[in-house]
Amino acid sequence: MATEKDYAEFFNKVDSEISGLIAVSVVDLESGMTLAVRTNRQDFDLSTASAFNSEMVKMKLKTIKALGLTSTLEDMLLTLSDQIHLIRMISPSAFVYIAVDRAKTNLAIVRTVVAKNCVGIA
Amino acid sequence: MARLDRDRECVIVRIVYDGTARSGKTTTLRALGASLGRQVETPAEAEGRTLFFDRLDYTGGRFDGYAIRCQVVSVPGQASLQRRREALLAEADAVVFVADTSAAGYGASLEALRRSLAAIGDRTSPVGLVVQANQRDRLDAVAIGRVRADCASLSPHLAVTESTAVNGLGVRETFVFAVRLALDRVRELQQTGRLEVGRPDVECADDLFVALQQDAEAERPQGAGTAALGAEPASFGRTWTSPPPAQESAPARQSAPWPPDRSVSSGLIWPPIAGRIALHEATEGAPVDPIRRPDGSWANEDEAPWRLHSDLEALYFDLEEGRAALIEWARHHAAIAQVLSRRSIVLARAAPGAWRLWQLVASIPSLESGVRQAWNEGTPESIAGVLLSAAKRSLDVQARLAETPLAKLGTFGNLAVENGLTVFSGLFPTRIGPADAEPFGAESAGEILRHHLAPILRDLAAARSWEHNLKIVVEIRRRAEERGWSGIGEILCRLLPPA
Repeated sequence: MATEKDYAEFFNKVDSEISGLIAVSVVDLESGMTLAVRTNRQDFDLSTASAFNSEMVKMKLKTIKALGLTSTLEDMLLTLSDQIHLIRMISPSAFVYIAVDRAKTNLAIVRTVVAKNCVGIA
Repeated sequence: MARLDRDRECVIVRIVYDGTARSGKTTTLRALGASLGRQVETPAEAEGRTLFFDRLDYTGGRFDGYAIRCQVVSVPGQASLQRRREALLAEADAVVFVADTSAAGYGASLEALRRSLAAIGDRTSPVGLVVQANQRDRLDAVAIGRVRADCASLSPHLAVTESTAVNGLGVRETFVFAVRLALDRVRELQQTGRLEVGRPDVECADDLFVALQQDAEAERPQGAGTAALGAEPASFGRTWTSPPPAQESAPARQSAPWPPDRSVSSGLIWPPIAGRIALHEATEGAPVDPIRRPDGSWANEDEAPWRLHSDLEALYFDLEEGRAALIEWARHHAAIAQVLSRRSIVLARAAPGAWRLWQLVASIPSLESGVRQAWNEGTPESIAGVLLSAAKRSLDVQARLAETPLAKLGTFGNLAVENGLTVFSGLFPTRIGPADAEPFGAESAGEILRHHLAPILRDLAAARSWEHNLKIVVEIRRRAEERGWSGIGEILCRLLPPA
């Protein structure tokens, strides 16, 4: 199981490798509680965003089941007019949620950086 | 305590931090507060010691579309404030026991843990308890393996996490796990129609402070306050049917089995809270890895610390159908709850497009393995002692099982000793037929032992000389007479063939 140190290392790497990081959290899927958070913008309500995103992930998992798909959910992307939000599953019970400034980075970088570094917290 | 506040669209739970004085409860709450960005309120302190409680409120996460509002409260640890501590524990939806695991404080922590278990043990709806093994940075800290073993000996329903509260390590992870346990309790209360609705009596630290003061003034008897929680949970009935068969030619049947992990949702695990804790323990470390058996079922290795099993047909493509089958299994388990291992759980795990039911049982050495070990390693005297004791335990359990639809369930291979009690620790048969419910006949003791023990003894006796076996027979007679178990002794002697 990942420790606070593992989460801090993950956040440090993400922060240094992605320009325009707004906030990032590791979220317990069942409860929607955040296991660890890092934010660069104090007006961004990360715990609320994480909680609602847990419901979105649960709904997506239900959809996958309803469709009878045998695939597993890897990540979910949300594009806002000025932000990119990415959700990446790191275990069946937890996911990483990251919000970045769309003008300063792009989706490919975000996905690559998160995928590369989340191994240590899975 | 748990409440559903529809007006404010939140579910309110209380997480209580318990522990001895100076075990690190206040430090833990302050570290948690710092981590969550919340202020900790402490109504009264004396020389740095909590007199009433420390408290922080945190709203985060979602439960069935409602926000989760956590009232996080720590108790005063001083022995003289025991009444306040019990009043706070009586309203807990989950308890985090902060244990001082330094050499000096460990003994007192274990003793206090025992008392806490007793305090929450008689609640009408189970309350999950997590032991937060604190002060792991101390050079003289007790080994975590010993902490886990000691906790397991106190109760099989304890989860253990490690922390160093002074620098916040392990605090948040423990809190999130406690919230999950509290939500399991909410789900249980909801499903049995006992979840209270409306605003809670205690909204803030001031309310709680006033309530505790009134409580002290009124000098209510210990344990008061739990009655408001409602009646006993609805007991599972005794309707005995086999799980409905899964659809034929289902595509998911040939796919990966999706073994249990911590993602199992609330409401899909039995027993609700103890089951979550057992699952936490079973999935600690390496993931469980089932293999397909020749009969199509899924199971893990026999030597694993937790045995895992899912029948070929225990696969459901409709959630409600799967839930109904899970309830049916839970009924089977509840019917023999008085002799069931405390670490025996059933759950439904989501698979792509389907739900698979699993049984998960802690591996405990069986009566049969004890007899075989004694036979291979012991003297005739010790073998006779183990045989007699195992036979007596088996007959005692059989008498209790005779009233249930699983009269013939308890064999020497699936009965074991757990915390001094003889329990059923085997896997349930997938299909339960009328033959399982037929009790043994009039000569029940002889019939039971002959049925279960004769094949084992035949096998063992054949491997030893007749002189050795004769010594065992003589010793069985002598010991049986000493203990007043002559009947059992005679049956055993008749079952023991000369080599």
